[in-house]
Amino acid sequence: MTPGIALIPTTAAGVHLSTGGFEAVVRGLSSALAALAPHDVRQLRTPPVIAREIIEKVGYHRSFPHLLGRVSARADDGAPAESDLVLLPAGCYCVYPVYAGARLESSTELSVEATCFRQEAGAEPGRLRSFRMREFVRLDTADRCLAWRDDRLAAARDRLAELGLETESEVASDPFFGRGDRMMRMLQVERGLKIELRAEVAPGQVQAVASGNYHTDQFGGLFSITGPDGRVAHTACLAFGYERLALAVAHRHGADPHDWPERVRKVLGLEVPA
Amino acid sequence: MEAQVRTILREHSGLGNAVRAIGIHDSLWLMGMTSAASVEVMLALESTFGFEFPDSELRHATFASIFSIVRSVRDLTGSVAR
Repeated sequence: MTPGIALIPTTAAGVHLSTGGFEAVVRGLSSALAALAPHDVRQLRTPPVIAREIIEKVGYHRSFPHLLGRVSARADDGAPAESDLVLLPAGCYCVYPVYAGARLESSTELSVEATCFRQEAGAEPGRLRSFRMREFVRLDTADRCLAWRDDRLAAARDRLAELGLETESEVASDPFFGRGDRMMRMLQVERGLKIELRAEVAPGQVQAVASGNYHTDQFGGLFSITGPDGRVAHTACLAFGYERLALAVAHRHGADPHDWPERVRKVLGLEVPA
Repeated sequence: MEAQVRTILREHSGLGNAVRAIGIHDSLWLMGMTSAASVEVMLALESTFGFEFPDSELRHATFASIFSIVRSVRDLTGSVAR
């Protein structure tokens, strides 16, 4: 028996098989991260696809056309044609339509697990095209969204430290497409909208393992969501990449979980050797 | 130059004809210009006036108002035209 945790490459770059040991760690991460949210938070599991009209409504196809995975499928005659679905690029896009037109009476938070796809150009360790994430999503007032994002990021950093991961917190930007990329990144950084926690996932390879984003009232406006203060709802999210985190933990402690410190095994709910 | 900037804003800022009535110091952000729209404005300014914004000018303040845009374009193109 090989207890080691590993991602096994396939012929497709950035697409991997995972071992049973790897999945045990992912389950442990899922529980350990879920516990960062209040116990009664609304939980959602997404499918790997989302309605194309939602992704077009939020403008993802314009900002990130190079990352978007489109689905070609047609039921009537079998000829290739773009379907009404695309591959889900992030969990939170599934959430906003659920609250379309809603008037929120209080701060609202969700905990989402998602299977995602992004057509990443690189394939260095930790850069996957098909990956999974846990994402917390907050719908609230502007001030409370920002405070929530920063508080939850701090709590997440502490939880990752319990796993032996020393993360760096950095103001970051998204890889927008085209000539506007430079300005979008500058504006995003100027307002501190995106903060990443980064960790080493392989020798000399640092990747973002978590990303906290404040969207202002962009999604609240697009989906006509009214916040608790009666104004357009603001939103924020905090996402964790399971595969990157598992790689980071294995990089830190070794590929065999039996050799990991007891406290790390305990946080992940792995069987502690007698 | 202000007239040209107004034309660009009317076509690219997402604010449409509301641009005709706004004062040169009125906040385009508060009027609802999005980041994505401001990028379209930036690209149209570069194309129309034949220059490129340096990173240091790609800030919210640069695109905050007609006044700030005209001032920035004038500084970057060395133009004295109004």
